[in-house]
Amino acid sequence: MRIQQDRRRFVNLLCGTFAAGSAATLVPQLGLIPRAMAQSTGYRALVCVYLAGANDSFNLLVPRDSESAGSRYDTYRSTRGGVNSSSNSSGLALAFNSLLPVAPANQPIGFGLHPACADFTASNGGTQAHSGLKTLFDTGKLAFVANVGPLINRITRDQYEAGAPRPAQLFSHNDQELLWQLGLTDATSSLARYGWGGRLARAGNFSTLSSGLSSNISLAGSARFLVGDGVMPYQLTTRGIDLLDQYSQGASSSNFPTARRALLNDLLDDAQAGPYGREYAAIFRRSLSVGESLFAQLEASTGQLSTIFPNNDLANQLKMVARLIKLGRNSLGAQRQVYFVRMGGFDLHDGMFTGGNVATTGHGALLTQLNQALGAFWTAMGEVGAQNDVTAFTMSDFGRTLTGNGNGSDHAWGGNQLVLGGQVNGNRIYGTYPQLRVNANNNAESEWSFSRGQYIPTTAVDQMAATLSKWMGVTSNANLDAIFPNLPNFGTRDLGFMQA
Amino acid sequence: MRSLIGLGLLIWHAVAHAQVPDLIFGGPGGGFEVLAPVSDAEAARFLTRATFGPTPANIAALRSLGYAAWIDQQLTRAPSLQRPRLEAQIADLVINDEPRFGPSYRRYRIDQWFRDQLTAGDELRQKVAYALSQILVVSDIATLDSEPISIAEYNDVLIRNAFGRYRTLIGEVTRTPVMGIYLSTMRNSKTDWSVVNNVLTPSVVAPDENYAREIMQLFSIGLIERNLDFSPILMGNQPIPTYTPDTITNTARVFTGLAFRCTGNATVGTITLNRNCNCTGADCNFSTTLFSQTPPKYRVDVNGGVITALTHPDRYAPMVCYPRYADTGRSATSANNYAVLPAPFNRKQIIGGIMIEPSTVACHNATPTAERQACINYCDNQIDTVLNALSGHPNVAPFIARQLIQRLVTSNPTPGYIRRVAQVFENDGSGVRGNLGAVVKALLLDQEAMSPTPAPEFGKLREPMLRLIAVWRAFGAVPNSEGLLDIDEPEDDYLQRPLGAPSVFNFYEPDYAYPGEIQTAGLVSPELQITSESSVVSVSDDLYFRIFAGYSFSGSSTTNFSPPNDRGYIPVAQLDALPAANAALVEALNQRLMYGAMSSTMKSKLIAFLDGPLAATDKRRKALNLIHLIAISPEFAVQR
Repeated sequence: MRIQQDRRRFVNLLCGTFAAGSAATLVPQLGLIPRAMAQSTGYRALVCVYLAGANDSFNLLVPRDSESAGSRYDTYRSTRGGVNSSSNSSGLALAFNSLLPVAPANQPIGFGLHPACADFTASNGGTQAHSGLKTLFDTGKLAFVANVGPLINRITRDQYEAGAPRPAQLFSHNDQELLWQLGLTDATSSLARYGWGGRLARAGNFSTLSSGLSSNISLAGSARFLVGDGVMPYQLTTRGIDLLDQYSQGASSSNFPTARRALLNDLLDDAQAGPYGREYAAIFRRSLSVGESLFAQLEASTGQLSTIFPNNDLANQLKMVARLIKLGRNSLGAQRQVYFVRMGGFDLHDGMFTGGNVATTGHGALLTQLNQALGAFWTAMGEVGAQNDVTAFTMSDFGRTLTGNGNGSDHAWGGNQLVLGGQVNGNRIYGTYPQLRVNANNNAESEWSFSRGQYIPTTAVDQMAATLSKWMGVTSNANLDAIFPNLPNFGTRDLGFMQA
Repeated sequence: MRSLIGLGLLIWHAVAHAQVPDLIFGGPGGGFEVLAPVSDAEAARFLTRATFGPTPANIAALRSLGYAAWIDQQLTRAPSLQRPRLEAQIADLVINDEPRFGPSYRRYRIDQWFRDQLTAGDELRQKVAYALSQILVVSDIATLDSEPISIAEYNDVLIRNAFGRYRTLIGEVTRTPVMGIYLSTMRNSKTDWSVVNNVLTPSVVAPDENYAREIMQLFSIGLIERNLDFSPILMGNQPIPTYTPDTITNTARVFTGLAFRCTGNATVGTITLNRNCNCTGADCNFSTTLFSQTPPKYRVDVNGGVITALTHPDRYAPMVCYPRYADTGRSATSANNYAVLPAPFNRKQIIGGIMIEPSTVACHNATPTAERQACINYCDNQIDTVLNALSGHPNVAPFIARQLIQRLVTSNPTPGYIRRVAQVFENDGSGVRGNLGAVVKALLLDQEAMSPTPAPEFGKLREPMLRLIAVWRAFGAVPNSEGLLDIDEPEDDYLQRPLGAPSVFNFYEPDYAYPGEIQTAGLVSPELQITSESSVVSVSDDLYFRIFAGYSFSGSSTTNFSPPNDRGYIPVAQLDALPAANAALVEALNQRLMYGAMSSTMKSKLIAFLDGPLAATDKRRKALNLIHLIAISPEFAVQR
């Protein structure tokens, strides 16, 4: 039984016709000039890579000093229930020798990256070798921020037990994801209508291109992170810009495409009785105007790359980001952009290890996708000439319990995040990497954890975000504090992982 | 209260339809109630909420029965269950078609779901079950993608219980293997304690907290204490959390010991699936091998072995408890004679401060036969204790009522609306709590839902996928010659797939507020979370693909029809039966698709389009083009 003729094939056929012949007649004048406004020159972009479900980041970056009793690695191994193996299926530790050794310049001991972080060859209609995260770390392009998470103030375990203020709904996925995206802890304040990427765009006066393309762009659906006062993110998919079928592209000329399109425009301009219809119409109008302005250039050489990305969803998102960066930076005169991509599947209450190669199965399968997507993206930024202009970084709901639950880990608080870019002061770990113990309570060492190794963060989301925002051009303390109202609560506004 | 509501209804009906005796005096509380719709349009508006869309047939039924009687009839309609039919279809396919790997059978589940929404007689039940699937979320986008039969059975749990009691529903949901796999209660195990150097010591492995958290956060009570009208209860101007991290940890200890049951060999269709349990009765619950054993799938030995999606029924039957792996408050080691653990590990304090005491009998591999049933009972009872506590929590009524209202009627119900429906949840009038049928009836017939002059923010964006179904139903769409609609990955275009959400947080969240006007006004708009510059186009494109299925053009005037073999379609007779005059055609489509609510501005634009550019085309072409334009228009995108 044959099942389905994919509509997309039908569309693709039509797109082929369109690209070959009639683009020029259908695509309006391209907007080449951004709105004039005062901002620093030179292109810069942030790319937020959101790891949804909470990445178990204490298995991404692991202390790797020695295997002997009492070593940092030994503490890690024992807290995580021993090295995972067929005879210890509930153990969550990675074997010492499987960790890819790195030597952070600002740490007294060596660390190891998850074995998924190796160099690799992408094979996807051709092959190309790329650096993995280990090499990028070694060469100073990659840094980690250790034990970072939402905080109102620094808080010790004793203060926590005594009821000191802490972010609401800790350990809840959607609430903590929202706090990461907001860069503040009062989700009910009026400022929380906007995410920190959106508040940054507003504060930095990031300009919308004259095509109507927002400075803030999501490849992963709606994202509060990108929304600002007067900043409405543009959403597109890994397919790129979708043009409306049958109303212009691919339309049968015998079915009145011009008249139908005129009527559609007319209906979209009508006053609507309620807010839902008004927003729907506004989104549709924005889709048509921006899409039709940019489609041809995105599909032409101005928006194409030769870098070969692996074929996974995150890589496809980052490939589209790379194409948009190339188009925006090299052809459209964009100055500042903020991108949002998202990868799911990290909520590994189960299946952190599934047997077979640790580098490519279970949690390793996810980290392999992350490693390869970022590795290819780095190569692509080289092709575009924008390695020094683009900084990618991860955010994730929270860290996970160090102790296991059978073959996975549960919700915790602080975790490790990575920052990648040509202007990153890499080969370093920022913040304080914890000892990885359960029930730690040592104020001198800033070591605070609960019974399953849920660590209280020692670096705030606000500090990490402010460091990135400063690099994007919001340099004064007053302006940074306006974006991040909790920032003055922490001693250090700039964590130092970005070059000036 | 009730009489005031009724008075309001009396006034507006008296003005609008003075000649129609559509009210009766003397409903419960002595007020007035709406009896029957006074027009097809009024019926269609109601059916847009209560079903996947009005059809000539259900409009006629509703007008003849009246609102209450139509709902009562729907409440007793036999459920159209999916799993038995899907199972039979797959049992046939694995023999009579080239055997495929599990995930390639998922499309049959999805196609059947859509076909049922076009034909099932229990249309209110189907709509409510779909709403419940967006609250009690499981999804086959990942691990479960090769389990279409089990997913269909999960949907059947929702269908069967859509008008039953919430407590029964949450109980069945909790024990489905699908939920067990999705939120990892399957084989969730207690912390083992053993004697190390003469000290009783816990292993570092703790029970999985996934389900314990989400059943409270998403399936029952939510994060903060609420009044009956859903407003937060404040203390010192701060909301009060419903639970603490300790509650989660303790509740996680309760949801332990569950795994697939074992019932022996089974025959599905003509296929026998072997399963050797090597045990009977309560002894099966003490098998150490069965706890970790997964019931088989039908495997065909071609091409190195193809594991199909045809499963042993144990794979979707309710999970059972294996007490040796359940947290009974006692140690797992004979070294201390399985003694009760030291406090606080002996007991579990769950929601509401309820304490679950340790088992009076020791439950381990060697538990004597006479004590085995007591162990099983302990395990079942502690789970039931949590489910009872959650079902009895004051938050459940407003939490569930609000989301059902959001799914069926309006994104932003007023506090009064939520309170009135929540009151019915708490007591259906016969002292029954959590009667979902009564809740559905109350929310559909509430004064706020029935008002002919709703506030501007009343209503909701239609779910994108439901725009397609509404169009299909309005024009009697039928499957192709192979019996399929051929819609197998609707998420590509609509960002929705039935029982296929991206995460347990559904396609969108109930509190999502679109930035700008909606957020500033303090409103929410869940469906706008999946409405983007990209999705408006992909939805439009797929709607065009399906509305025009089978139709071709001879020049600009003539439209031919030939049934397509690749997808479902609108039969040509449906179009040919529409009125010919342009204004009449527009009005007919207004009635069919927009319950007569099309603005005069839009009407005149559509008529001008037919009078002008399309003046020389046939009626089919006019109708098809208008159906698509309406289906992507801002006015149709909203239901009010």
